[in-house]
Amino acid sequence: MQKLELAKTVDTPQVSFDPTNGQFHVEGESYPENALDFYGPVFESLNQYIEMTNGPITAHFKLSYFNSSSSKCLLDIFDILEAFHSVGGKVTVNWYYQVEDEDIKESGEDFADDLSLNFSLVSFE
Amino acid sequence: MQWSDISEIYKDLEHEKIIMFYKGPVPQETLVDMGSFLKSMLYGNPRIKTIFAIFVEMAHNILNHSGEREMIDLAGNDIGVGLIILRELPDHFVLKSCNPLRREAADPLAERLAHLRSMSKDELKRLYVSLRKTGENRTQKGAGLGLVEIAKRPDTQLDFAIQPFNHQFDLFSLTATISKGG
Repeated sequence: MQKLELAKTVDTPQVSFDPTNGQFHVEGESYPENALDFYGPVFESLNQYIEMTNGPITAHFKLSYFNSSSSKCLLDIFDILEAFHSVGGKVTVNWYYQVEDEDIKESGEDFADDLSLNFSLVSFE
Repeated sequence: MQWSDISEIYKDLEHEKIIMFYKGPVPQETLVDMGSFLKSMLYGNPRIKTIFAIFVEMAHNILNHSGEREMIDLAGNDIGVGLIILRELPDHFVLKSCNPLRREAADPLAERLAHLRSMSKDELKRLYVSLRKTGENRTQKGAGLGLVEIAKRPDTQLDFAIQPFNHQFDLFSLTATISKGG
């Protein structure tokens, strides 16, 4: 299975997923015209991984802004991770927020509230 | 406004404290450019994230839902046309969006917005989380969460109006009043 690597643009984040070690990264801003089109390959890559292995996933979310339709797609990603976790997959989530960025911190808490994943909020300067 | 006199236009825009004024089709590229402009104009302002976030939801609403459409290619793809205005008043920023709306869409939208306006910020936040979870308003174009996303913001008041426009459309406008705080 191939490594997923989407370069950062002005309205989409950098996304990478390395199936050799399960490291998943999303970083930047997300407000594309069509969030489902953008995140489609991401869902596909994660789904493919969890079907063929029970290796760990460590997911890093370092977003400074995402719009409402991206927010739904982030939840889709968490649903995939949650499904993997529920069948014994090892999942760790790190949600990064800049100190004093209450919006991003709070949205991380809102996602975490509804998930049974190992979910850490990590602040950075 | 007396649009035949350019000095009147200039003075009016200045008097109304217009930071940004755009009327036309809103493709994603234009949205991105306007967003960058907002970020540079509001650099360092504590409300920049709120204003940017509301702007994106309003602009995507126009792009996807305006009744007035502009064809962009031969495949029949089109984008919405509308109006976006940002003003800076002494205690508030006011972000307005406006677009024609198919008449049959007016009543359901008015009902939905009146309902959102009757809810507390806490209730709106819970509604956002639950709608996001069920995905019940989701379409190929978006999550159907944009209006709740604007309404739930603690520093923002959301108002709307729907008025008769022409034989085919009503005119729909959203006004977000964002307090400057502290």
